[in-house]
Amino acid sequence: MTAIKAENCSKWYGQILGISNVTWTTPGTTPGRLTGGVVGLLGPNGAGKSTLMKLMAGLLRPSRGALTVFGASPYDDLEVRRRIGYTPEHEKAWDELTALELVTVMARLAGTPRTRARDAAAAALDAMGMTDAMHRRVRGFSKGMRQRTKLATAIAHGPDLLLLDEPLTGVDPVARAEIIERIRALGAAGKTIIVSSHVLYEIEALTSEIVVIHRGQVLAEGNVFEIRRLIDKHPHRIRVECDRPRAIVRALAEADHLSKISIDATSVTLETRDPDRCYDQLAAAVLDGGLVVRSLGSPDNNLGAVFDYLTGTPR
Amino acid sequence: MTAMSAMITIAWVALVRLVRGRALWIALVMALLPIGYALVVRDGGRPDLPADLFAVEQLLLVVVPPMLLAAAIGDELEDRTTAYLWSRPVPRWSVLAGKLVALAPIAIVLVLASWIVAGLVGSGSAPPLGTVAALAAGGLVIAIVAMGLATLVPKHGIALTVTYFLFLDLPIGALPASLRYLSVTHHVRTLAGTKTAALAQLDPQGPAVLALALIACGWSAIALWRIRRIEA
Repeated sequence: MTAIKAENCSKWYGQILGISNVTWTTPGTTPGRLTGGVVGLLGPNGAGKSTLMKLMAGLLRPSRGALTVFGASPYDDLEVRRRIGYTPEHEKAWDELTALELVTVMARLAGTPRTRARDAAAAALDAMGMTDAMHRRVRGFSKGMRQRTKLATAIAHGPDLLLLDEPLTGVDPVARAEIIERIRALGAAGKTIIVSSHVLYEIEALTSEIVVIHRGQVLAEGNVFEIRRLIDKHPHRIRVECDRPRAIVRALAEADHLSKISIDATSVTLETRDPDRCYDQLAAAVLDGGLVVRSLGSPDNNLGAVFDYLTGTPR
Repeated sequence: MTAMSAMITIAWVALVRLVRGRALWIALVMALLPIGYALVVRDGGRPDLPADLFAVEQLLLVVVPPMLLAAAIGDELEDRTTAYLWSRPVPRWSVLAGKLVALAPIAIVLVLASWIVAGLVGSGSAPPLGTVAALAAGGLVIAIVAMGLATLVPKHGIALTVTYFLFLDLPIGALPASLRYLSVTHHVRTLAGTKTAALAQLDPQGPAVLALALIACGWSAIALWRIRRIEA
């Protein structure tokens, strides 16, 4: 079953646009792809990520179009919301409660029986590395501890779908690495996880499966490398560091797929519309010329480059 | 989870937050004020002392329930902790009902305790049962009004409710016009029997109970309508 399906979904806040005409289906329904895993929802602040998250969590009702989770409207259908674990972007929780009380209450409200809720909450906090602090009140927690407690509230009732809105905001590097590891582990365990962020390297560290959203619209979705390949109007860049970069330029100067060649003392950067052919010719040039290659890579195969291309931000 | 167990869970959270927060202690201190007033005026031997004390108690009545109810609902909406609630399979009415069930009795007990002690201190005897029942009914209705106003204006729920009662409800209730039937405090005075005999004839107690019930129903409907429409 499709985890999330948005069809021409739009949301306005009065005159302000939240998202516009979004049509999107989570991975897992496409033949050949695994169910579960982490999907990164990427976009700058104000792009519409949180709006989309709230629509998926059932906090908002679409102004137009439809959005379903496991085949039903999360806004109207209480049963569907049992299968969702959501952490909002903001930090505020019921700070007067201890972490264990908070997570227990959230598990109870999500439908976990009273007899099991406390154990489930303790296990969720333990999974988030919060065992030592679970009897302390949330009021005194650092941002990292709050984020981990929020994640525990989302997973305690064993949902099939996790919606994590900016779960790494304000977290110190050590806690960030821990949280990333725990989210990845949940994804590997078969949960479908949607993580939003405006920080590119956070998403890159979590997943290569992304949805790029900008000004309320989905610009692209899929594997970051596949997306890059689809952007054919932008040449693909290949950078080679070697002992004689001019030899590469000489060998490839006549290639019709190259749109630009940049060279300096130690490297050459090629911009090509046909990366496969370019790599073949490059390999031949290196072997024929007996060049010593120190590094070979594509600066475009990272999320930052993809995001900049899609949003039209000049690099 | 049934709606009932959701309501109980939300009520438990509301109680814990109240006990561990500051609002309860502020309300407790405020509940001492009518007792302090009774201490000051107790030796005056005035025949209108009970009515005078009741008027002071009414001021407490219009402050304490909003302090607890409007704050609980307003803070929830303002702090956006409703995001946690709305994303759970919880009917929205259970959030309001849970808070009302948890906090309204505490507000009412505070007001009644204050009234009984003030009566004992001021006039040397426990106040009539009718006044106690009137304050209890009034406390419940004012808590519901506070709940409704807090869903409409979460940021200023307490201030708006207290202002409404102090500067609109109380003055309207004192008017010799049919407009006074919209006043909660007017009906509370009617039920308490603290009016003059002439006025008591004009406003019998039976319709006052009905009027309070109608006002409570009206504000409950507003609160439920509003909470269904609020988006986190």
